[in-house]
Amino acid sequence: MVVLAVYLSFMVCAEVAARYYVHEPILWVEELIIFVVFWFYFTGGVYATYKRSHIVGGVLHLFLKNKPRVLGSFRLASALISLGLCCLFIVLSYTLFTYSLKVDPKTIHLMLHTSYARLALLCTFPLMAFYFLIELIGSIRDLARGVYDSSASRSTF
Amino acid sequence: MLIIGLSLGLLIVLFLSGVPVAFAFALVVVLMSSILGYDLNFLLPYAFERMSSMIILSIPLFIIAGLIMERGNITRPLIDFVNSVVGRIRGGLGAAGTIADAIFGAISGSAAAAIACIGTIMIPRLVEEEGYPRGYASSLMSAAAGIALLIPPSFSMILYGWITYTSITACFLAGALPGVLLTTIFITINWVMVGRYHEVKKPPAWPGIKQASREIGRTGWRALPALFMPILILGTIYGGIATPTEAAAVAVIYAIPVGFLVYRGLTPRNFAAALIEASTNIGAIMVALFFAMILGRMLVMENVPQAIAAFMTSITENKYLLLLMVNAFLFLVGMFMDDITGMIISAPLLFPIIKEIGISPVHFAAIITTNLTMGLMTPPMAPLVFLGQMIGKTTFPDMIKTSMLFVFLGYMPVVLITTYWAPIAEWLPVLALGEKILIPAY
Repeated sequence: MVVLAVYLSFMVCAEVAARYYVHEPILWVEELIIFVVFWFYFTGGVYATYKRSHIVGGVLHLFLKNKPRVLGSFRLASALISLGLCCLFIVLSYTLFTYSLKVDPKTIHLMLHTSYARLALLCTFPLMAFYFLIELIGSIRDLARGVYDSSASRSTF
Repeated sequence: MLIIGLSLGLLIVLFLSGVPVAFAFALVVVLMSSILGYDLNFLLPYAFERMSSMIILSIPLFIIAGLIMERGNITRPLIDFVNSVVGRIRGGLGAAGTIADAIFGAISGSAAAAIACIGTIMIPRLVEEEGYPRGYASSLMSAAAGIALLIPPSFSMILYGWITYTSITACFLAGALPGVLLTTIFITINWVMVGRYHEVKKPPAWPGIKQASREIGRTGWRALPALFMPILILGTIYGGIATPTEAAAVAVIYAIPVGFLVYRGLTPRNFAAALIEASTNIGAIMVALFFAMILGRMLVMENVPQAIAAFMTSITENKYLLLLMVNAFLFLVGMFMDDITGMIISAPLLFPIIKEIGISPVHFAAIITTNLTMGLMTPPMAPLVFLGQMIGKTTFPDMIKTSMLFVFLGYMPVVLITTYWAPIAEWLPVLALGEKILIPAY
């Protein structure tokens, strides 16, 4: 993620520099950026799942402060829904990737196979599913114990 | 339409029950596509194409630049400089915190970053050095952090521009004057409130023009690299040198040596930590956007925005009442959602009605952003109040009364002025980019 963040920043700057100092707009740089941008976004998504930093709008903890079991049930349901959806999107992203391989679209300048940009989905959804599974197991354990760890709540930003 | 209504209701229930926003969107997408007969294999490539846009890349780059500057210790010199300018009026330190929030907004574009950076330093200073009540100091800094979303560059504006195909450069400018107005109102409220709190210290005596200008010069010199960042970002955008995305990348590259060599707050370790934190935030936003794009596409294919427009115009055709209804809707959205989720949902739904009643997309950018910024302060969600409570080490009841004071006397008048007086949003964009910027792109 660190490498991708630095890479993206430098590549966009290189585009500006090329335009003003070399007087030669380098359009292929944009292709290199777009090629990796999905990998950057979705590896960030995986890490957000691992750190439980996905954006949430939950207000239940304000009203159900003294009901750890109810809160725990909601957390379990949330992890279960997210896990199920990740599994579904693994299948869908596999279909998308195999279809892309068949059509084999390429970028204009560098002739990069854009299917490999789409591969980001297929590689990251299983990882997200894995971390949601861990969260699900944790939720079940907490629910069985009747505790609710508010520090494990997700970020609201 | 019943299925869509139920699906949107389910979406709200999922949000409220704590399902991650991204997966709440995903679940509704899956349910709607299976009921309405859409093939997700065709919708996924659409989201992929939309997200492969260079415009949307500006959000991650601004997040990275903001976090690098935050870890690079830019905040203290910035506050010292502003305090040397306004610190000698009544409530000067509170005013300095408010202005520092606005300047920080011009660097990072994020309200959460503003309260984390400025609030962490300012709240203890306001309470311990100046004697401000803790709850009030936390409320002031929380409310002022919202200004960051109005002062360009702003994440909300980038999202709005990207969703509605409006010039992001124009959207940035649309929020600037409401942001300045809000800053002025907060400084005035603080001036009045400090007069009521007798425990707050009196401002230091005026040391004379020579001493004051020497101090401003000294702190200004120290703050110059930080102050140059917004000039660099906005100068390159409005000078026609770079697009917002390119300006964000330039800001990242500028922030690295400033953090390492000038303010020396960055070390290889916390630089990497800043990039990892940025990537985590970016991932959370982008995965949510990915699914929101698919949902948005389905709603458009089902003509939902047009149906909402028709429904609202069937109630009344009066432009001012319709705008009031739009504001009421946005107020409700703000109560239950953060600014990013609120923008993703409201912008595409309300855009057709706005076009129909003759409001320019640039004006609407300011209306929606001021509303959603106010939403960050309104319970039950009120993320800025909760962050302020955490940073200020205070309690929610201790903060809520004064927070509502800033909402009703600060945010609400700005929302109403922005809604009903278009020049506050349109004047700067028209001045910089011409009249044609007010025409919708589609």
